[in-house]
Formats: sequence, C-alpha cells, structure tokens
Amino acid sequence: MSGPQDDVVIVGAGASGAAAAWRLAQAGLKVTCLEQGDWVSYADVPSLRTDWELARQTTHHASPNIRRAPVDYPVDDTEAAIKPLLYNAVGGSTILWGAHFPRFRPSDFKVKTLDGVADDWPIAYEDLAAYYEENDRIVGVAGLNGDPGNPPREPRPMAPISAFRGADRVAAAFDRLGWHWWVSDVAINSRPYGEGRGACNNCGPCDVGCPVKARASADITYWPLALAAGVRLVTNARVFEIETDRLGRATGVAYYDAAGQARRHRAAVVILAANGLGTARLLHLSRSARAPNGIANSSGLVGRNLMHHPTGMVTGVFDEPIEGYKGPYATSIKSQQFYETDLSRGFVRGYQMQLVRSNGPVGTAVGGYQPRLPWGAGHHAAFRRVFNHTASLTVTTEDLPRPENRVVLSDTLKDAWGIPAPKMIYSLDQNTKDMIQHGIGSATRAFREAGASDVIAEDLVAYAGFHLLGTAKMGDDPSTSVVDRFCRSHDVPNLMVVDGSVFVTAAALNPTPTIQAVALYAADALLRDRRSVGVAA
Amino acid sequence: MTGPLPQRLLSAALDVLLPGDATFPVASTVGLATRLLDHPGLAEPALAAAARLDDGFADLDAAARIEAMAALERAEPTLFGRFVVAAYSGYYSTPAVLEVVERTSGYAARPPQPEGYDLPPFDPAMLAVPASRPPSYRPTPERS
Repeated sequence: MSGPQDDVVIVGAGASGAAAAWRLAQAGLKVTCLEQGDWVSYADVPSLRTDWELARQTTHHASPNIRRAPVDYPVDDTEAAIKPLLYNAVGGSTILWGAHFPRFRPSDFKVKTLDGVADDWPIAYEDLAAYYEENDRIVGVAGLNGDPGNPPREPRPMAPISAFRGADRVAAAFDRLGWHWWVSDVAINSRPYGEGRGACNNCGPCDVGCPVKARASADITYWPLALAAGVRLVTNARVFEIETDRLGRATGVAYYDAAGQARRHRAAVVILAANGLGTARLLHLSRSARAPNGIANSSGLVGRNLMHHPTGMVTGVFDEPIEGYKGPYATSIKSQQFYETDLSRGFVRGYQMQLVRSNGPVGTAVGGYQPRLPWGAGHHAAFRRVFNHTASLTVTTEDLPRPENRVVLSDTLKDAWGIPAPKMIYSLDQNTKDMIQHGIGSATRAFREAGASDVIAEDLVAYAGFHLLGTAKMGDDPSTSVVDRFCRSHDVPNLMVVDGSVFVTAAALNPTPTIQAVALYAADALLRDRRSVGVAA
Repeated sequence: MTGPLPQRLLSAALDVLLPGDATFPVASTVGLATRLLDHPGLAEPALAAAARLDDGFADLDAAARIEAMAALERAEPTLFGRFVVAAYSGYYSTPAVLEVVERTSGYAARPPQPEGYDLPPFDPAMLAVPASRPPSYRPTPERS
C-alpha cells in the first residue's frame, strides 16, 4: 500500500463531505475525498424513460438491500423496524432525496433544558445560523419569509415552488382549524439558480433523476465548487479502516480501489462523512490493540443512539381529481402546529406534518404513500378510486435517543469486498408511538376538514430510514459522547465526524440543512485550530 | 424455473392478482409473466413465489386459486409482498396498461421528463392567515 500525504482526507462525498471539502480546500488546505460510489449521469436518468417507475422499484430503489448495485454495501436490517435508505455516489443520498430543507428550531438543540429529556446539544441554533444562511445560498432554497413557527432569517434565494390542488384544500383546512402551516422550504429551483441549473418543470418524481438539475444534490451544488477549489475526488474507493500510529493518532485511511486493490491514503486529519450508518460501521471496523472496541469509542457510544424520523402516513382520498403527480412529489406545505412539547397530549416533544403529493400508477399500486392496494377482484376498482385522487400528510416525529437503538457489525452479512456489513438494531418507544397516533388523528382531522371522502392511515412507514443520525454523538463530556462540540473525536484529536452521526437529538425535521451547517461549522473550527492537529497554517 | 410449465403457473398466479375488469386488462393479456421473468429485479420474487405454489395451481378452479394465493400470503407475507410489488411494478409500467390509465384518468402515459407539467406559480396570498399569527417557536433558553 502506498499513497500521498494530504492535509485532510474525507470519507464520503455526500451532503456533509462535499460541504466540508469545499470549505477546507477554499481555505487552502490540500484535501482528498474518497467516495465509495461514482458520479451519476444526468443523460439517461429514469425520469426520461417510460419505465421510470419500474426503475424506482428496482435499480433505483432507495434501499441498498433491494437495489443491490455493485457499489452498495448491504445492511442487516433484520432487527430494525425502520429500513435503511441511502445511496452511494458523488452526492450521496441527496441523489435520491425529496429535497425538503427545513432548519431545526432553536428548541431542538436544548431539549434537556426545555423538556427534561435526552441531552442538550453543546451548541445552539445561533451557532449555526450563519452557516444555515450560507448553505441556503450554495444549495439554492425556495421558500418564503414570515413563518411564525421559526425564527426570522435572511430571505430565501428563491420564491416557493408551485402548490397543487391538494395543498389548496389542506391549507384552507388548516386555516379553518386555526393551525400553523407554511409553505415548505425546499432545495428545488423555482427559477434558474446555480451553474447550469434550470427551474423545476413540475415533472414529479425528484428521486429518479432531475435532468433539469432544478432539484439540488451535492454533486451539482457543492462539488463543482469543491473541485474548482482543488479538492481531489477519488470515486469507487471503498474505505475499510482508519489507520493510526502508535500514539493512537489517525494517520489516514485504507481503502479498496475500483480494481479491488488495497490502498492507503495518508493525511494529517481524517474526516468521516459517511452518514450515521457508514461512519459507525467504519469506526467499528477500525479496531486495534489500543482500541479493541473500535476507534474513538472509549465512551462505548459509537453506533449507539441511532435515530431516524419515525413516520406515520395519512392519505386523504378526494372525489375530484387532485393531480398530485404534478410537482415535486415530496414537498408542498407543512404544519408545525404540534411541534413543541405539550404534555397534555400525552407525550413529550412533537411532530411535523408535511403534505406530499402523489405517485404515478406503479407508486399508487405498490403503496408509495397510501398503503399497497389489494390484489384480486377489488384491485382495479381500488386503483381507480385512489389514483389521481389523493394527497398525503406525513406525520414525522422526533425520535429521542436510546442507546439500545444502535449500529453494530453484522455477524452474517458482508459486502462484495468481504467487509462486514452494518447491522441496524432499532425499535420505537411508547412516546414515539403515542406521537404517531396523535399525528394520525390530527392529519385525519385535517383531511376531513379539507373535504376528503375517505382517509387511510398507516401507523409506521417501514421504508423511511433516510435519516441516519446520532451514532457518534456530540458533547463536552468524553464519557457520554464520541466527538466534541467541534466534531473532533475525544479520543483521537485528528479524527472528525461531520455527518448526521454527531446529532445529539434528531428534531422532527429533515436533517440535511443542519447536517451541512454543522459540516461547515466544523470545517471552520478545524481551520481555526489547524496547527494543533498538524496542518500547516 | 423458467420453462413453459412454471411460466404457465406464474401467469395463472398473476391473473389472480390482476384479474382485469371492464377497463383494465387481465395480467396475462399484456404478457406480464414474460415481462417479469425478463427483468432481473422482478424475476427473483416472481419465481420465488411461484415455487411455493403447487404444480397443479394453474389447473385449479378460480376460487381454489384465490384461496391458494391467500394461503401463501398468510404463510409467507414478506415473500408474497415482494411478489405483489413485482407484479404491480411490471403491470403498471406496461405500455398497454399505461394507455388505459391515460384514457381513464388524464395522466399522461409518457416519461415525466423532459416535458414536465405546467402548474401556476405559488400564490403568497395563500399565507395570509398563518402570516398573521404570533411566533410559535420556543427561542434558545439561555439567550431568551
């Protein structure tokens, strides 16, 4: 094995890795990023083909266990109530995402102080506010100021994306109920914005390729900037170990290249950005005599406190056509009426309801939002009843951290290169179940108020594990956290984690803006303290 | 299991799932069994489910076929669910079926891109009521 010496090597080219790479390279550091996947092509995406929905169920499924692409690693989810969804490519899981872009609320960072549960983050909303703003400008966010549910901020770069008939009805229902709602913040262009990126043409399925490049993803937002700043990006690089010296300091990483050859990449600082699953896996894989339970794991918390966003789904069926297949499928408006803690509801913390549109024929039949349609004699009538006649409210709850929810190494599964796969062990507690049931009741009430003739509820969406959080918790106490408030390992000072693994709590909101804001914040901390970890000023 | 007998069994099973009606075609008339067997991502669950059915499944009467399928669903819900997803995916991505969907719903049986759809711009007037409300978020405690 041999390789060059860099200031920084980053593992993972997704939302957080891209942001950190750009920031550090722009400041003059020599940065290499190793990505397990490859660039995606925009020339032949499924959305350009008639069989796009077939691709969504197979080759472009969000689950690596169903997709089974050569660049993927399997995930043992046999003990997980929520199944993992992720993508391995330049851009990571933003390649497939729906592009919701909400910021966490100030209270999300201080749940121990405010509600007596879990832990406070060692940082506050205000520490990230400027990074949120900068990230919004780079990614491109459509939305509107004035939301009473969130702190004031700079104007969004773009006006909101188009609503749809379902949003008209549900928004009016929210108003009659006296509930909070606002147009969703989304990382989707409502006008041309960014280099080579056009405006959304409302095609619908953002997850099967946006040749217009209206829907943001890290490969078309941060990566062009990062490459221009000098980042060296190595694709098809499957990292399997963080290497250390005799003092326990990180010296770089070992990886298999596209040909299966083991290689080493040395750097003064190692940054992990492989999501809450991949990062925990890599920390577990990096065992030594000094760290028999995995590197950076003196607290025993690596892999623990896995959080998702448990989601119930409520679908309103309307008598008139809704045309929910028009417009970005996952985004329109949201309600945070039940977001903050109100113990009279019977649970602590809260949830958000997001109005999503609907699917094409396959998605309707297999149960993209509403449950799968029945087979047999009643199937075709059921299809006619719901197709083009639905809108759905997701009930997205906060998922408080519990150490028994965790990522470990699988005893049975390995990837194509023989590297042990991660195993997710995950269940819901009663507080979360109560939140979902309350949310189903709220969403049902909203749809009835909106005039839906039928309402269908699903208690828990199994394939909702896009948000992989908490497995390398941030904190000031090395005995109760994995990284410090600047995302540096307590045990290994030149090892950082900048993805969702560091989240102390999950909030009840899509995490990507916060993940990227934390990555930028952590990168700035490294730049400030670079001398202490061996990076020349 | 890709010979004529298994394919006949699979086709019969798919016709139970998607029997057709006055509007939609029965699965076998659009060649769904062949479509599934020709697709790498759909063949495996289809063959796995068909392998759990008795060889004489295709010769059962309609009621017995339905009962056999229901029994398989009860016994192996995960496998059966994957089979149903494969069947629906293949069926509703078949051009002949998409033509029916278009004719009966107005949904365009074409790729989403590059044409997309026209929608009016977002109307900020929609937000008049919520915009009039006081702040409802809790500020950071130590800075409030």
